[in-house]
Amino acid sequence: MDLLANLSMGFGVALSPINLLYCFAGVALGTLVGVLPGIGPVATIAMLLPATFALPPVSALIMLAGIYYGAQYGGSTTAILVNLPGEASSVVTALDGYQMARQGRAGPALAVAAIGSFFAGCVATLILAMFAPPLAEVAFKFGPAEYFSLMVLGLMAAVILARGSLLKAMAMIILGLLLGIIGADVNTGMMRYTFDIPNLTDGIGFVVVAMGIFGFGEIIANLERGVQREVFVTQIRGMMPSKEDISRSWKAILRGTGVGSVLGILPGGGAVLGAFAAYTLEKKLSDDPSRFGKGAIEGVAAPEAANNAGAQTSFIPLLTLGIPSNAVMALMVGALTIHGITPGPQVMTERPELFWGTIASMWIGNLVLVILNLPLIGMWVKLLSVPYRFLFPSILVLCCIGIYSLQNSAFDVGLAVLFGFLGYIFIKLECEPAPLLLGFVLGPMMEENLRRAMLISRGDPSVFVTRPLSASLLAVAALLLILAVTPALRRKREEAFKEA
Amino acid sequence: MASALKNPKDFYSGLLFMAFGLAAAIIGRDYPMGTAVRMGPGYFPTILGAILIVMGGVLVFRGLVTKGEPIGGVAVKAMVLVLGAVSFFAGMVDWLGLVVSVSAVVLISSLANQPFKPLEFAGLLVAMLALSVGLFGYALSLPFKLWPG
Repeated sequence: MDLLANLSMGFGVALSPINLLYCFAGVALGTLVGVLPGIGPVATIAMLLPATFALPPVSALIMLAGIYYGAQYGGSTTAILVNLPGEASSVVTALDGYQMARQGRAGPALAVAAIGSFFAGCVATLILAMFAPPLAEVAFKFGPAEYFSLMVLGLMAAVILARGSLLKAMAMIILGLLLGIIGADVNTGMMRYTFDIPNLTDGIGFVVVAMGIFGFGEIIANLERGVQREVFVTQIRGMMPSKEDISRSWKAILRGTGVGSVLGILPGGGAVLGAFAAYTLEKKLSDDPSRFGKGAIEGVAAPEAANNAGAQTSFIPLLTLGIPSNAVMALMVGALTIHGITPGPQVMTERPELFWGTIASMWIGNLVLVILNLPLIGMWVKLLSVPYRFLFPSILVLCCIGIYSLQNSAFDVGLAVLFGFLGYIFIKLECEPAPLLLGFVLGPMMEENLRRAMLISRGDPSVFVTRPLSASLLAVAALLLILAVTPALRRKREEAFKEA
Repeated sequence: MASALKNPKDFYSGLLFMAFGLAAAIIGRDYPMGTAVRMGPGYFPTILGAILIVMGGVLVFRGLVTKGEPIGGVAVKAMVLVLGAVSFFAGMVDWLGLVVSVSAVVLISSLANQPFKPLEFAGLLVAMLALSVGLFGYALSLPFKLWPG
């Protein structure tokens, strides 16, 4: 009954008027920005981060979580209405969602997406509440060797999930790790790669990297492509799904929730993998697979449920182990650090109100998402028809102010220009930037744990394979790598991404 | 030479990674390596740099032997305007304050639009100024310098 007591404490925190307000504001802002085409959750969160600085940590985390699923749902709306998925996890939604919109059934598609997301969110929140405490117990048994191996596993998973070349993704991670250790060395205080610039003493801010690469880099690429769109504004008549829609989708929602929740917990998982897997599963189980890609409602329901469930359960590794499993969670680490909280198993015991408050607010956030989105869908659609030539100058202004306000540092804004340039080059060379951000956040942690592990083992590297937990983590990582380079699976992976 | 490059995306990304790897390794020579037991500040980055050089090398090789798509044109104008606008902000915000620098960002980035429409620009400028000064300057009362001087 610990669970109930904890949850009720959590709800006590989350339901305080002020936190409720921030939860609401987060979801609304997240949806608002997430709906804008060409802006994924990572850029959205990075952009809205400064808005949470002034808040106490609990409220900040609640608002950030709200921004996250708001952005996610906003991205799905864009995917369905204009076939412009903001990020990988809504790519699958666009396949059938956009077709439904073209058939004049955008309303039911959006409604099913919202209902599916809500249901999945409820289940995933419960899973999070049930599994996080025992996992945190395990985490206390983790030594430096285990942490190091876990990070290797997480990075390996990120490599496999990245689009395009495996080798490029790996190189991006290594580059990220290197960028991450810029600044004063924790152990010796020695300045590394700072070029005697005092602003670099504490390293490069992760918001600088995220906004530069995900914000500026993508704006340039969007301008180059010319964001074209075809909005189905007039076609939204009824929101209500028909009886047939419901009977087709409820099972898909259940299955999507299951798939998404499980895959979301895995390092490197998050929302993307679940959405892909859920879509494939529905297609396999369907009595008429040919309907998929032509506006099958299951093809919207399942991945939407899965990506929301995954988005939620991907908080588990972050909150229990302190290890971000994807780029969004990497941003959360940065945000928590700004508030003086080191994510990890100790958060649950030392700051229970933060931990349980966040979990409870996730459920509330999902409710707000439904309440906010179903009636306001017309407004989001109008927002979609705002031309890009108005959008990107506004986004630029917000990014500039956002980066500057972090430390009142004009230097950081200049540094972001550099990363924007780099980000555009990466897009041109087809190097997916998400692994870089993950590596960037993990860099210092990885080095620290490697050093500690080697110190404890007196320089014997076999410590990573003789400790059973560490060995099994590394084994899984190796297995993933082997699977990824196996020709048959490699083809499958390429197909999966091509389908997107 | 250009025609000999079959897979320019791999080739150039390989070069880029190699350059970063080399820089990490060369600059890292100034930092003590330490031993495996007590790793110095140079240990981890040197290893990473070495890995990056090898990976970059493989990519360069792949760029020479495998077939790939061309990189395509580079949006020089968009890049210069977007990054230029942000650079302007970086250079001016401490000196001339938020109002001037936000105006500059909106102006420079609006130039990226093909037919530049003064009326649209004016509307956008007013909206962005109201938002940034109102929200960040007053509502969130972030410590911004608003005006020059």
